[in-house]
Amino acid sequence: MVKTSYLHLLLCIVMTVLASCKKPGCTDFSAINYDAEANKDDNSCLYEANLSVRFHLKNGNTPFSIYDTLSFGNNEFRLEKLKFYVSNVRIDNDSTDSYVKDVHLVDMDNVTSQSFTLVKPEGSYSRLSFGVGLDDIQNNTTPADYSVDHPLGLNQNTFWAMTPSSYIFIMLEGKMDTSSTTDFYPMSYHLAHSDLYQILNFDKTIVVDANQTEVININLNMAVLFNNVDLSEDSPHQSKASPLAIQLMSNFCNALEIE
Amino acid sequence: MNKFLYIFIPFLFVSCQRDIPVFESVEYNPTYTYLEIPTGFPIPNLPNDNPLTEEGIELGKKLFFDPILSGNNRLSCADCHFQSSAFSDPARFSIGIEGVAGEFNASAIINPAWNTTNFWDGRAISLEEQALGPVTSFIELHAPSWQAVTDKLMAHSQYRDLFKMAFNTDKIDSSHVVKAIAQFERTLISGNSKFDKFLQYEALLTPSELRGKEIFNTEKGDCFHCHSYPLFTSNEFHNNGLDPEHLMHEGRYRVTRDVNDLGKFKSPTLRNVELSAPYMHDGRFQTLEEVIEHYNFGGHNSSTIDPLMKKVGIGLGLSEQDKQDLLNFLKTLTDTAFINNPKFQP
Repeated sequence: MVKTSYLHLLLCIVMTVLASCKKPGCTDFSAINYDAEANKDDNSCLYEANLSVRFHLKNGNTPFSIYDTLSFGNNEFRLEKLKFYVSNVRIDNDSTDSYVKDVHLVDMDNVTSQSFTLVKPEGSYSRLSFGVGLDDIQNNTTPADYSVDHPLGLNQNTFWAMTPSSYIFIMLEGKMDTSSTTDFYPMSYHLAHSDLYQILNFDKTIVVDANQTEVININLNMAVLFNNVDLSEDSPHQSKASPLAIQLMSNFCNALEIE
Repeated sequence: MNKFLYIFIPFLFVSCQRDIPVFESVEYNPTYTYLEIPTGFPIPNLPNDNPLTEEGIELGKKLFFDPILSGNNRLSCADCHFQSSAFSDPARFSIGIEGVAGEFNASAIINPAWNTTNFWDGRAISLEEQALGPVTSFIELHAPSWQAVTDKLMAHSQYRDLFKMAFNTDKIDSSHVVKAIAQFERTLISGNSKFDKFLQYEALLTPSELRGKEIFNTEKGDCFHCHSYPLFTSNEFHNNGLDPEHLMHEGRYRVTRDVNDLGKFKSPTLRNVELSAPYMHDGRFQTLEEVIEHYNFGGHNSSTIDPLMKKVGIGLGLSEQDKQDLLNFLKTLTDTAFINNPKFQP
C-alpha cells in the first residue's frame, strides 16, 4: 500500500517536471514556421509577405502602350502585340536562394498579365532573377500537357508544333515604316528555341514586410529594342540562334530595367 | 343476366381508363459522361453549370435536328450545319425561314469544346450563348420569342420527359435548350484525320503531302501562325488582307468597338477544310485553290492588316507545285470518321 503511494507521488513529480519543460519556437498558428511542439514563443515567427513584380512599357522615360508608335532613325514601328515568357523566378538573400515561380506569360495588351505576385517569407532580399523565355525542360513540353489557360497552355497561342517544336519566348508584332512615307507594312519577330533562353539578375535590396505587398517595377525600354537590327532582314521565326535572333534577344534583355 | 353484368362491368372500366391521361413521372438520374480527347489535344474548359450527361447530349442532338425551334417548324440547326460538310453550310449564305440570307457563311462546327469565342466576330463567348442567337434571329430560325419555343417544347409529347431527365426541370426555358445543344456540340470532336494518324505513326504522307506540310509549317506558306496544331485555329481574330481599307467589313469591331479590330475575323479551323467550302467569313472563295491563291498574292494592305501577313504586296511566291503540295497537305486534315459518325446523326 505504501509502495503504491510512493509510485503515485513519483509519477506526479515526473509529470509536473515534464509539463513545466518549455520548448522554444514559433507558437503562432498563422506563421509559416509554426512549430506544433513548441510551447514557448521565442519571437522567431515568420509571416508571409507578398512581392508583386510588374512590367511596364516605356520609350525612354515616357510610358508606352500597345498601338503606340516608336520612332527611331528614319523608321517608325507601331506596336500591336508584345508577349514574353518570364520563368524560374527567384529572390535571394545571403543565406537562401529560393525558387518562387516557374513560369509566367506577360502580355502587354492584358493588364492582369503584366504583373505576378510571389508569396515569400518576410525579410530582406538582395537579388531578383528570372529567365526570359523557357528552360529546356519547360520548352520540351507541349500545350497538351497543361490546362488550356495555363501560361504554357493552348489558349496562349505561343507554341510551334513544327520540328523542332518550341514555345515562342518573345512575340513582337506590329507595323513598320522604313521609308518615312507612312507606308506601314506588317512586321513580326518571334524568338524561340531553348538556345535563346537568357537568365537575368537584378541586384536590389528588397524588403518585404509581413502581410504587406512590396512592388517591384520593371520597365521595358522600347527605345533600345531595335538597336543594331537590320530591318530589311527576314524576321527570325525558325532560327535557333541566327545573328538577328541573338541581337533581338540581347536587346530585349538590355531593355529590361528595374526601378 | 346478373352474371353477364359482373363480367361486362369490369371491361367498361378498363375501356374507360384509355381516356384518362396517365402521367408517369420520369426519373432524374443523369449519367455523367466525358469527352474522348484525341491524342495531342489538351483537356478543354467545360462550364461547371453544364456538366456533360448522356441525357443532355441526346436531348441536344434531338434539338439540333428538330425544326421545332424555328418559327415555322421547318428549319433546324442541321439545315445550315450539315455533317457531310463538317457541320458547315455549302451555300455561301444560309437562307432563314423568312427567305432572307445572312451576311456570313455558316461556320463549321468542329471541336467547339475548345472554342474561346464563337461566330466569325466572336460575339458569343460560350456555346450556350452562341445557341441563343439563331433561334430568334430574323435571318435564321426566327421563332417569335424564346417563350414561344419553350411553349411548343412543353406541349410536345416527348420533350417534357427528356428535359426532366436531362436537367431535372418541369418547366423548360431557353437556358435548358441551349445547354442541351451545347452539350451535343461539345461532342463534335474531330481528331482522326490522316494527318493525326501520321503523327501517331499509323499512316504515311505522300511526298507531296510532306512538302505541303513543310510549306504550311514554315515561313514559305506561313499558315501555321493562325492555324496551328492541334486545333488548326488560333481562336484569335485576324485581318488576312481580303479587302483594301475602304472595302473592309467591320468584323470584330462590331463587338469591341475598337477601330484596331476593323476587318478582323476569327481564324477558322482547317480541320476538314476540304469539306467546308465555301471559304472566308463571307464564303467568297468556292475552292481551296482560290484560298491558296489569295495568300500567294499576299493580300491587301490596310491599317489593321495582321502583322503576320508579312508578304502583303509581295506575295508568297509559291510555284504551281508548291500550291498543289499545300493543297494535298490540307486534304490530309479530312476526318472521314467525323463526317460519318453515327453518334452525330439523328
